[in-house]
Amino acid sequence: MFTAFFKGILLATKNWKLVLLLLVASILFSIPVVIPIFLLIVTTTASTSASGQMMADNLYAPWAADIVNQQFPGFSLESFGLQLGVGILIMGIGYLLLNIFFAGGILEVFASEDQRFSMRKFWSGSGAHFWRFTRLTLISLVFYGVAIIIFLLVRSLIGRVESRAEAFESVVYKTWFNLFLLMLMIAFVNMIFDYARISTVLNDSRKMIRETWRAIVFSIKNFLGACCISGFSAGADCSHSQDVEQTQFLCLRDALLPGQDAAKGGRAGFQVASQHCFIR
Amino acid sequence: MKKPLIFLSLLMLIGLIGSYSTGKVTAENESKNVVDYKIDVQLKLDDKQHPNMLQATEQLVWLNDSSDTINDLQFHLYLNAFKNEKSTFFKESGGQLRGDRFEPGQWGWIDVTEIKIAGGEDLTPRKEFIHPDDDNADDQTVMRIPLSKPLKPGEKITLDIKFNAKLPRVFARTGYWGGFAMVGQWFPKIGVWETKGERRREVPGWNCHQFHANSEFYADFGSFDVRITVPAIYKEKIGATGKWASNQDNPDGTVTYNFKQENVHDFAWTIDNDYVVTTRRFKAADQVTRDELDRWTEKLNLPLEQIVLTDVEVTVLLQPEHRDQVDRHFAAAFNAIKHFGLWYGRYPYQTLTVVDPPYNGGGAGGMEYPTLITAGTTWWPTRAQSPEGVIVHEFGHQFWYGLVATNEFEESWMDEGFNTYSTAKVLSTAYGREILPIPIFGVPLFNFPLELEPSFMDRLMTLQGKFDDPILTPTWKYINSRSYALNSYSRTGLVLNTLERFLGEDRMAKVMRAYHQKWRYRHPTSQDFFDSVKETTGEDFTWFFDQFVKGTNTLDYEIVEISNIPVKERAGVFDEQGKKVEVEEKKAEKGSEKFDSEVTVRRAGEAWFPVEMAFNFKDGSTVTAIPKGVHDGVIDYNLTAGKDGRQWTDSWAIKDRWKKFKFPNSAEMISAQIDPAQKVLLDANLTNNTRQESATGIGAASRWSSGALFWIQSILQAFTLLS
Repeated sequence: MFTAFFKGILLATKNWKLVLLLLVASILFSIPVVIPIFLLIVTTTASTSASGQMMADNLYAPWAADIVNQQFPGFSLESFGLQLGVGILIMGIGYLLLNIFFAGGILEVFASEDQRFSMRKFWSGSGAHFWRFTRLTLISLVFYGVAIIIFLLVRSLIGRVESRAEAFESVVYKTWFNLFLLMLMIAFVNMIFDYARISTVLNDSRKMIRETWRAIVFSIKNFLGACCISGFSAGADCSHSQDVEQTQFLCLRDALLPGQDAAKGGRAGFQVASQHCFIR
Repeated sequence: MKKPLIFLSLLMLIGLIGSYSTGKVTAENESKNVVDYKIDVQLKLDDKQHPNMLQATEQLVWLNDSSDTINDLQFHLYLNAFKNEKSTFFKESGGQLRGDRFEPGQWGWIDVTEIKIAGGEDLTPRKEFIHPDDDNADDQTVMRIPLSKPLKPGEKITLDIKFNAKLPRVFARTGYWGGFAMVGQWFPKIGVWETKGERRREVPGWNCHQFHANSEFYADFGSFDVRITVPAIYKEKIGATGKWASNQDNPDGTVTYNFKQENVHDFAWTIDNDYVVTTRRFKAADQVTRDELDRWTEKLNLPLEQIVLTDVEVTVLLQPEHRDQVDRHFAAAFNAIKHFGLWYGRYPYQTLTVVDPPYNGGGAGGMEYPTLITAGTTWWPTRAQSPEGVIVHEFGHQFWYGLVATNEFEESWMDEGFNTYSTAKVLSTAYGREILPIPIFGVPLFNFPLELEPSFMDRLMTLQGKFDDPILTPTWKYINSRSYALNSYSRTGLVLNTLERFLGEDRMAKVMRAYHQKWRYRHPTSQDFFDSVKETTGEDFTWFFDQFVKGTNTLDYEIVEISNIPVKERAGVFDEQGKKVEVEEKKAEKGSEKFDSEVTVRRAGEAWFPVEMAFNFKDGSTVTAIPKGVHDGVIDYNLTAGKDGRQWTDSWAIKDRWKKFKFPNSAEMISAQIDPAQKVLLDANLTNNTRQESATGIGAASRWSSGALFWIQSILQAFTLLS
């Protein structure tokens, strides 16, 4: 398990071109949203003293109020929240498809003999596995759906208690437990389908239901090891995100952006390495 | 250090000598005791052991303090707002209020079973429900009793009333939940008789409105002597308006508490068998330093004895799960007692009770009654100023509603808005800027990168909305509850804050103090406040109140353009003394170039304001334009050059939408700013108040859009869970 973990880190670091590619794709995907924000700030602060104030760590309060009032007349959290939510959902689905596409390429690189990045390997892997991984994702939605249904059932039970409660304390721990349960279920499903994708690439399989079944069996048989590997990679992801979000230093935050994508490569690397370990 | 303390203690002792032992206010300022209530109420549990049944007798002595002969009496029966879905309150609110939803079946009502003139006529058959505000014949929140013998001026009437009531499940400030009950607006409360001229009324009559979704209350000052009998499980788990006078254990296992209070206009009480009851004393000598007293004595130009505060016994009734927040509750209450007291006059009552409603009982939270306020907090408070904000705000109502008893139905801005303004000042003084945490599952993990002064929080909330109504609108006539909230709270806060910044903090302090003291224990109108401002400042602010209290226009000034045209020495061919003379262009030495500078200022909104301006030049000099007065539709400006002190005047006709300020033969103008001190918070767009001659860089845009990039990436990353 530890061998697999370190092997994964090595794989990700030595394929820096892959990380760079993912970073560029990821930034390009976000650009359509960031550019309007950039232009909004430029146009509303240009030739005003607000631009100087905006260089501080916190937003300049009068500008923040003005931007809401002038750019979003009739602004309300309800309507804005809905627009924002739908926008994020649409972007998220697009980004998901992009990542499904890239996942084939990443795994193809890591599953190759020399485990070295090349454009040919990456793009051919991306193209070859895209529809298979899309099918796997659709199958995974059923599992995620079951996890969410279990969560909602427990939530409704807690809700009944909550509506009669005279103290929040009696509810909060149950709510947290339910959220923890949901996270565990999602992590477990996520882990299963990580392995299903790996298995698909390693076996060049086209039968996704069979690969799903094999991944379930694999995950259950190697439950502890598989969970630990997933835990390591999830932990690495989270701690990285936490570091980035807490920082107030612009340069550091931007410098850490590639780390997010390195973590993505690393996660695949860990798991390929891990499955190799288990298979061998 | 000791001398001032001894001196202060003596002053406080003098202040307290004038006090009675039970709930009497300090003697400096008395109310007209129009009504005395003596109520004996028994709280009973229903079949499910919920504390929601009230059985009571009420003796009401009412003085006809007017010069009118009165033929009828009118009473508020507010619990009937929750009687059925036909009430005006229900129709207006749709069963939803203050984030709370009414549960069908959990009705509340009040039934006057008997009303008699003491020792005389039974008036019960004469009672009828009226609906002075609308045509809703089903509304039973106002009861009228015609009198067979009219009540003459100066005459008193004593009524013996019996009533039963059922509290609703907590909703809209009152009701029960589990073992908790907040008993507010629960007894037949007589309306206010207003004579001709009183509150600028043209015809004498009762001011007794129905209970509306967006309205609060209005009543006359008087005394309350209330005996409350509750089951033994509520022993020492009770709080009420006024001072606890006595209690006794009854043979049937109940306990009777007696609370008394004078010079108030309402009475509320609460019980919860879970309350954690803590009492601490606000000791004025410990809480207010000599320096603070001196500062306020000087600021308000009043003798020290009018500034010094008195002690208050503060009781906090907390839910057990919030017991670790007890210090925060007391600190907030103490801060409020201190600052409101220093600014507007001492809190005159001896007690204050702060109530923390239980989970799911939030509908009772955030409400004010005389000497009793309901707050509300969370299990894990996520904001630095919560619960402090709500405690300070509700305490503030002791001054704006309790003492200066404006009509909350007709002029809600005078209590909610004045209090929003005052609350922001206390929070700013005691706690500083507000941070905006982003709680994740109730845990405040991140803070939004925006710290707001409370006054700017009002600005953010106010200018979000469109002004469909003037601030001065009766509560039930606003276009919707959003407009009511916007105008009554934050917009008024902003108007008063702008007035303060325009007048200066010290003058505004004097205005508010004078207004408060003049109208303490009385019922002022909006015009009384306008007059008070004029009296104290000596200036007529009709233009201000007409636009911003009685009007709906938006205020927005902007700098449109700065232009600098170089002043050139003459160059070219000139006819001089019959000869053609060619003059070559001379280049000025660097730094000594002269320009004809001009700045265009536009009034983008419909409203106008005598705004200050500042114009900055490349040689480091600044010219300020200070409005010196408004006359005949023109704002006169005094312009002063900071460098050499040169002064000149200019003017701007109010009807004109723009004005060009010209600076011939000056240094190059590099920037201009309207309202440089940000006094006019009502300006809808402060960003366009400044302009720099040269375009600024893209640093700010890069800084914040890269931040946005990071957050977008992080959010999108969550979707890759599925890939």
